[in-house]
Amino acid sequence: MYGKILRVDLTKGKITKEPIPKEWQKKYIGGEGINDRLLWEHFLKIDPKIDPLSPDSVLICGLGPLGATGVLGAGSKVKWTFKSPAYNCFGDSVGGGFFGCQMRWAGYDYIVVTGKAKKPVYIRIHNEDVEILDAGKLWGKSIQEADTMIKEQFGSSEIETAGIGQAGENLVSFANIIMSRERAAGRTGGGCVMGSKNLKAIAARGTKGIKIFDPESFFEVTKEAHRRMDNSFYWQAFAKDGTMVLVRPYQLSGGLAWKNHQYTTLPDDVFGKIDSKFFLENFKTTDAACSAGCGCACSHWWRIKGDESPASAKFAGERGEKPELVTNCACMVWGNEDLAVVCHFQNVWNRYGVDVVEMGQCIGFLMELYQRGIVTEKDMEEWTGEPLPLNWGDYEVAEKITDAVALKQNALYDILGGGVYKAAEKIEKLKGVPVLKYCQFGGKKSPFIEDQRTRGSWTTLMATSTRGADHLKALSVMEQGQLIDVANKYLGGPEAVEKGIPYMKGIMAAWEEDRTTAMNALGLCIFNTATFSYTGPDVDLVSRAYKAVTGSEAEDFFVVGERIYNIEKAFNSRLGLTRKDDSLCERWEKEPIPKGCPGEGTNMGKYLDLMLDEYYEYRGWDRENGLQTRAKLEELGLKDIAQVLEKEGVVGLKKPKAKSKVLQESRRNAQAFKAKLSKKA
Amino acid sequence: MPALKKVIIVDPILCTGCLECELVCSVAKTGVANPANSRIKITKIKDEGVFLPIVCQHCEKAPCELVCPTRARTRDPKTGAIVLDQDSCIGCKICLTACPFGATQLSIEGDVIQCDLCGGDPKCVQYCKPRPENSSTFMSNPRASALQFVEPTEATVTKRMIQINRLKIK
Repeated sequence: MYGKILRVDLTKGKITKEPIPKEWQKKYIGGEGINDRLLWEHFLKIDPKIDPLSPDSVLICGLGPLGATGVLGAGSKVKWTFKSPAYNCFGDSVGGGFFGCQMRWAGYDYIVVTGKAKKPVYIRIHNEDVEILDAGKLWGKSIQEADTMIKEQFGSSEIETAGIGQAGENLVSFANIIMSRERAAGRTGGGCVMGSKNLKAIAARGTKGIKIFDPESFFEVTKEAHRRMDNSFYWQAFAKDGTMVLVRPYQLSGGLAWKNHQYTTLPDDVFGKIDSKFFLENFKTTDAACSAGCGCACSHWWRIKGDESPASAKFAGERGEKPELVTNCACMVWGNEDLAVVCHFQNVWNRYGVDVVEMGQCIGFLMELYQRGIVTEKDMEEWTGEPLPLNWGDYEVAEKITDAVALKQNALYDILGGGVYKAAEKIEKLKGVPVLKYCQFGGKKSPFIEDQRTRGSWTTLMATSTRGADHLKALSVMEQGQLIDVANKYLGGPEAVEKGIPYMKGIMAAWEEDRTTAMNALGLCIFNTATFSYTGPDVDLVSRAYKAVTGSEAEDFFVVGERIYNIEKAFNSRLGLTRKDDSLCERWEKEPIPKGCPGEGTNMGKYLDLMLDEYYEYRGWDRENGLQTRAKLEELGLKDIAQVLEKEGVVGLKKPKAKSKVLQESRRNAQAFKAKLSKKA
Repeated sequence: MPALKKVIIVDPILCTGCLECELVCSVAKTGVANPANSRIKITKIKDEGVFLPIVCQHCEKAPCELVCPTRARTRDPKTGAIVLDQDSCIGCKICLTACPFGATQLSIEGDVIQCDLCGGDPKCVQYCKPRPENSSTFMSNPRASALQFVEPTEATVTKRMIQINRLKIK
């Protein structure tokens, strides 16, 4: 069953509670869906073009109806939604942790924070009691310290917090919100929005629970999901190695970003010291689940003894919760060769609450400029007071750069605090040399720490994602895992997952966006659901789970996912974003994959225009400008949104084709392309 | 002969702190997913990654049974579990003091609650997901879950087997 919406106006200190409209439950399910609707409604009253850090801005937290119930054993992922201060477009951020669970157990599915407190505060939720409390003593502390202080103050270890570290307080544009001490809601700068509201943290404890409509089928579907996990190769891999298991396939397929994307694989001797096998044998102690009801538990605890790797001695005795694949990749960007350093940086970046992707890219970018002689020790002395050499893999310098940005210590904060793209622009101006070509970014000028040039659907996703480049808006397991069965079932044929063919890839990108969005709307974990929802009649099982928990029949999840994604797109359209913002940086679009790396000499990025055409056509949007069409929005039941877009003149004019027709044409083209390729060969 | 037919044994190293046992327990007992009303409790030391599931051991000489002034606790003849008769319970909470594990507790509504082994097929054990084999060198585990439901005489054997497996894998 659904909970309530909690609204907190920090300017007025006003707290209100309201039910979730029935219509929203049906149309948007919850989580990301209802978050998006709340964001949309907020910016009908407020000009969407305002500064994301203005007090009129909004910060929304939501957990979908299946989250925190334990159904399917698929975890509980919280969505934070806001206007992104990092990329000035739609912003959302997903993370695990038990904060969202406590929030739901307290009876609230959504928290909507508006306004700005006069001085630092935090919100405390205990079932019906919600209060805004002074955070004077917490301000300036890391989020872990603040979490401990809040727990001690109320004498309860069961309180869970979501809050910001120093980076959020200092308005670093890519600051994260950290939940339950270690679980980051990363990308797009939710922590910065929280900091702009003078809100240090939200602490929640709930003992009311979530009513389950039909306990019998609750157990039935969960048992079935567990059975599928048991038979799933993915479950086995994720449960044991976590996301870090992907270092190996990425190394084999060329998905890494070694030395600021100059190479797409690691040197062989480095790979052996940095993959999940080395982690498991040397650092990992135990398994841990990031959120309630997760049967996979892909997080781990680690401890550095001191003799595992060259850098270990320096960090001996340190322990923490797992470095993710993304943390590892973010360290590869600046040429790190030591897994102990990755473990350490997981702690450092989470302590300050900075986004690991953007921070890693910033460091890697500076190092490439140093390698090319554009940034020198003299510049570093001018900026930081120390003539720091920026040698690849120098973790001491990397930590100094992190400190400088997160703690607002010196001029590096001004250069890097807005993210890597803005940093490139600033350095270009400062040095009078073109440096943008060394800055890697996808759509909305946002960077990512993976290289996607060998995989068409991923290339497309990096450009189209509503929040900017990354893999969490659409986890294209279909292409990454070469899942022919899934391609046959949903996209009519195997061409979609075949390498080197640009057709079908845009369509696959849209399909994966809808699937991922639906899982986020339900409040489930997309990694976890991939372990069982890819191998069987996934929609059926998840629909049954939805019915067991809420008692309502669910609409087709792909339609709901598409509807939700269209709200995000519409929000971006209102900000003036068009097809030109679904773009890639020069290296990703034009540069061939370097020598010695898989797919050498090729680059799916050169087909970007073709893939985008198919993407827009499948979505029913206008491929000329990438804008949504009235017909498509009406088909999705979003007439009111179409009206707003029409009034503001940001709507596509072309008549959309039927999905099945686009799919058919694309398959035909793919087959012809394949025939041509084999003829050539 | 012990009264208890089968017992839940715990291997804390295999516990991931996911709370699935608490959730399924509360759904089975109350129809509401609410760890606060779960009969099994995972105690967490958050910043150290230590998770310890605590559940009623159905002691042979159960302190809760001995101290109960209204004799509200009896043995279920089928499972040998200690079960609490809510109608006889006067809510004096002396059992909370007597239990050496903190396994008997108050529900949010104020009732004394404790595990009854779900009549012989405990939900928490059914839904405790096993960890993959040899999940880390420290865990050196067979493919097994943190909660297991075995005969009391077998409990020690099972525990030993887990340890032997750990040696074998190492």
